[in-house]
Amino acid sequence: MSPVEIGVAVLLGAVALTLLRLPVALALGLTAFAGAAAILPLPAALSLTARLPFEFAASWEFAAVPLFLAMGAVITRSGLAEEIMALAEHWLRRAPGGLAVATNLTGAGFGAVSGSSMASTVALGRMAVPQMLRSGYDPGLATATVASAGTLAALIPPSIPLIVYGILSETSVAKLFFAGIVPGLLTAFAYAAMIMIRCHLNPSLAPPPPRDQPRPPLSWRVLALPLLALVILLGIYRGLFSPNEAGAVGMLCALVLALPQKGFGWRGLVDALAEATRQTAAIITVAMAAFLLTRTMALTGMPDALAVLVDSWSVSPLTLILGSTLLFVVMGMVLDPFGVMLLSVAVLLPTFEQQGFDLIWLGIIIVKLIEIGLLTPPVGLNVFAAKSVAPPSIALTTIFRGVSWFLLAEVGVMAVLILFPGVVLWLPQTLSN
Amino acid sequence: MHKLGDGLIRAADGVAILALTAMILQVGATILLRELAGIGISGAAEMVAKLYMPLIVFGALAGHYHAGAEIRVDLIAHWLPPGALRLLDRLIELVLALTAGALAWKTAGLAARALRIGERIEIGSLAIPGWPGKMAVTAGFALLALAALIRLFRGGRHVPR
Repeated sequence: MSPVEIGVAVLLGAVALTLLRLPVALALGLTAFAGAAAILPLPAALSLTARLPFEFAASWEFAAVPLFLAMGAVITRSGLAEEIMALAEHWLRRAPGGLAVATNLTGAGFGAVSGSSMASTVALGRMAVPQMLRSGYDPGLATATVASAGTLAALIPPSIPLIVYGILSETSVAKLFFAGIVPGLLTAFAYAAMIMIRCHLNPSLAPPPPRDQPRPPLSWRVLALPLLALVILLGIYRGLFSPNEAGAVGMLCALVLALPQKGFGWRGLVDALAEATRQTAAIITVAMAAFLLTRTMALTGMPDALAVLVDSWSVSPLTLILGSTLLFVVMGMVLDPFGVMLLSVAVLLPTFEQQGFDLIWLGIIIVKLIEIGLLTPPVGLNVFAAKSVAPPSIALTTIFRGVSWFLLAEVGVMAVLILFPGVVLWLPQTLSN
Repeated sequence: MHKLGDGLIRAADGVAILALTAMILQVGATILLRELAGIGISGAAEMVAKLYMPLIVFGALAGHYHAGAEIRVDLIAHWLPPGALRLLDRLIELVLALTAGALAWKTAGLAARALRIGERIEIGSLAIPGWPGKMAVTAGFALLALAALIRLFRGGRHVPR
């Protein structure tokens, strides 16, 4: 077998083992090791594999992952987002589908303090789904709104997928953070527009609330999340702290805000920290296995061969990105989206670099695509997360049907981001100037 | 035996939580002192990278798996008969136990070497032992193998804590 053929076999093996229900990290790691052992002498492959876990995990850059996860977990448990939700509901009560739009916009706000889509979906779902159902909202609309709004957390900084992409592709995490803001807000507005149009055309989806609803009591807590997001972004922008350090600052600020909240306390803090450490272990072991795969792929020479092959086809950049989008969507349907992103960084990055794509823009497109993968059947993790907080009577198919409208909005957003890269790059370029 | 395994995994979880707490406090204090008092303290990045991060990742690794929260794709699970699915699950636990065991064995050599040569993390004029971070990798994989074995013998993906 030639090294390139070994590379192809490794990739197919990784996909096959993942489909056979092996944990994703194990599937990627085993096939990457097998590939390395097929090319290198066995002791060298063993040494490469044995050294990797410490070398990879012992990273200052990756420290942002547990810090931002801990911040998000603390905010989720403190109930600080609930007041924003109440205010958004009040403001939007007269709009068609007002509760769903408010949930969606709260999702954007919540994304600014949580880097994880699934955590965001669960937190939003607990707050909003019961209320929308009580108000007579269509169950598909109610649950699909929280599943889709959860994905905004991956674009609006701080974003865990953007941190991991930045480290693996050696691009600036700070620039990626700023690049994610406009696409994140654009997605939130596209979702809001779609909800309002649907509910305007079919009012039975979201009955209007009674007219005499009192304004919810407001306190300083309504400002907590926007202030926290502002501290993080301004601190990074002004160079007061790096994106990693921002995680610690954000976590300490979140703690100051959360500890006085009723029902949080020390138990809530320990639970939040436990959740953050376990999620960190999950994310970093998958990334570690993907990194081993990247090294194996480099040994096989397959990514470079692919780059040369694509170059010889003389396809336009637009065709290449559309073809890759299709590949991502199909892979995202059957594989864990995080694994798809890491696999693609391992295999496709040299091709994209050779074609002159901006890696910041590409990172946003890739993260957007993996977030779409969180909504598509059969492996729609955000849909499963929404199902986990919905009443048992709501079937998974009902949520997937509801999500299909959000996917339609996503097509529009993706078209804008692909055809007008300036939408993504304007903010980071302006700020770095 | 299962109880001992559960206890060890919970203890490792506790170590990960302590490491995360220490990391938050040390990085937070470093920034506050730097920005508010103009006092520069070196070493936070080294401590985070070489000590806290390995303790967090590998301390929580087995607990994450033990709680049945690992990322895996259940696509074919819907089509397999229950007996075949059980068999597949057992096989996967066995493969995981063997792989994690092998990784624990291979990384133990690196940890033992760090201990033997007295590897240290230099922080300005101070130095702290470098082996705990490397030992965390070995312990994390050993506990992951244990968690896979517990699940193999208990028979089931989700093990109640």
